[in-house]
Amino acid sequence: MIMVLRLLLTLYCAVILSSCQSSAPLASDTGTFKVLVVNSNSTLPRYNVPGQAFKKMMGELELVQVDLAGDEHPIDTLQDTINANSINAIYCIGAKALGSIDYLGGNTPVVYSSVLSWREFQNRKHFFGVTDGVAPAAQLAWFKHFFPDINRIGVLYSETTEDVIQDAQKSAEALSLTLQASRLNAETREQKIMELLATTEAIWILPDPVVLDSEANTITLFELAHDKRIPVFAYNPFFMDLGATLSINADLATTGRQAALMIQSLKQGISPDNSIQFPAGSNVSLNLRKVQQYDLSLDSDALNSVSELLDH
Amino acid sequence: MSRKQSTPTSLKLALAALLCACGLLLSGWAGSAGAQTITVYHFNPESHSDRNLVLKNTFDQYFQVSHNIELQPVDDRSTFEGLIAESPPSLFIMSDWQFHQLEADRKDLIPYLRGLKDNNDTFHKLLIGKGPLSPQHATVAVSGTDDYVYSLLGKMRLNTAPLPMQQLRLLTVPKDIDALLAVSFGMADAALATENSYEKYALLYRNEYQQLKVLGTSQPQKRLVVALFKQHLPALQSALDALVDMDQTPNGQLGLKLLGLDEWTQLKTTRHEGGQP
Repeated sequence: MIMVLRLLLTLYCAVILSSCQSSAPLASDTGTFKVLVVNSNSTLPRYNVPGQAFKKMMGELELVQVDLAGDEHPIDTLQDTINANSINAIYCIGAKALGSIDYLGGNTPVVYSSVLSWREFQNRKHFFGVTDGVAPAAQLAWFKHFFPDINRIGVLYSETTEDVIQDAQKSAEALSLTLQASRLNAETREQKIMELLATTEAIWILPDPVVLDSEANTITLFELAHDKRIPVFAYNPFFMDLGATLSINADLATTGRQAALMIQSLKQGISPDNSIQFPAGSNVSLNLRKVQQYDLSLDSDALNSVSELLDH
Repeated sequence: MSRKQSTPTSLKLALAALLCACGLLLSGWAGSAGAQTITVYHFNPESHSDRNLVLKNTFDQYFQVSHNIELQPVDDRSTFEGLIAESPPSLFIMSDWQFHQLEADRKDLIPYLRGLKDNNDTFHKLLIGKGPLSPQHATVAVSGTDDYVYSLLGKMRLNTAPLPMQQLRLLTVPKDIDALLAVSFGMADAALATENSYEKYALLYRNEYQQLKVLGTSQPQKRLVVALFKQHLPALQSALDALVDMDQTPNGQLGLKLLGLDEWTQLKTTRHEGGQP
């Protein structure tokens, strides 16, 4: 009797497991490929722009769309949606969307973008993503494109961004640039900044929580650089208001298009070449007044790449 | 007697007043017509449209100094062609590729100015990759619209086997340098970029450049053209003059650089003179 019960239990488990696996096939039996698009908040351009670009590229694929804006029970919403549809792949835009899908688990391939904490998800099986910021190597290339006479670029970092600096050192070398990296701590902050400003031709800002630990300290950093007529290169246009000369940030529409190509690869049964991609498109903001104030040599041919011009 | 004489005098005065009023009205109308804003529409399928705001701000800043002209960038081809279909008294900055598509149906649409860079009115687009493209699936990073890109690729002189056109996937990026970086960083298998961008990349990123190969070269492409409807030429002369003078002021030069140009030159032989653009 016990043997029979064990056998029945084993069979039951096998059926359950097989049904779980068949709920997330790479291509459905009917030939349609259904994609669940989960947007953290479509009222925000940061999430809406990649979502729109994604939809424009998907063509004939069937999309099931969920907007989690204001949704206090996103996991329930998504579970209900997944139960009601045979989903072949999921595109998550933003951390709320990705975190909720991650919580639900499952084997369905997930593609994501516009997630600041993407590193948390980079080793998940079936997860593919576009990172939030332009590759450091690409940022350095853009700096050189605009200001070919600047050879020494100073950068402040902490333990948090140490790996970024190691990669950036190699990229800088390939670009014939000298990266002057200075590690910060709270005690020696101002001294380190002043030392760097004394020897460098530009300052490169990284998304480092120690370097940018407060609004006041960030403003001070920009003011000190301005006093020395040293241009600041940044990774977000937000810093243009603080006095950055150049900012290189990810083009959101391109990240949506990259996600679409990843989904199209999955539809063809091909795993995307890289599970994590850097954004392939960039938006360039340039402050021409700073260029003139600091008497910088700007390659005018680079101007046809500018998305935003300030103070001209 | 005096009353009899006064009547013709009154009539003459009334007539004179009426003529004056008409003259004033006419001169006022003419003045207001002269002050009407001339719109310069811009759409370029060769490049991405994320720069419309910076183009408008820069051009309008230049135009506002002494002209009553405004730039109106257009997001997409169908809207742009819809505007042209209405034959307004406006100027149209467009790619030469698009102009040649339109001219067949609109014989009165004439090219008037051509963009120059380094005294050259022609450029080539190159297909650049690390090696031949896979016939199964290949991603090409491009900064132009899909229809323009497919048209260009279809007529390209290739250094490799024919392109797997049906299997090609286009990744639209904002700029040529983005497209080249996408190949270097593995987001695309090939990039479509101007030879000028490729030369810049060589100076910028020597190591990566050395790994790239030219897989194909486009037919020669003429640079941007300013077109208008022949019948509107007299009314648009001031705007054409303003465009020609752009290279004379810093703001104008900035606008030209944003379009990737150094100057505009008047086409010597235009169709309305019986020649070819």
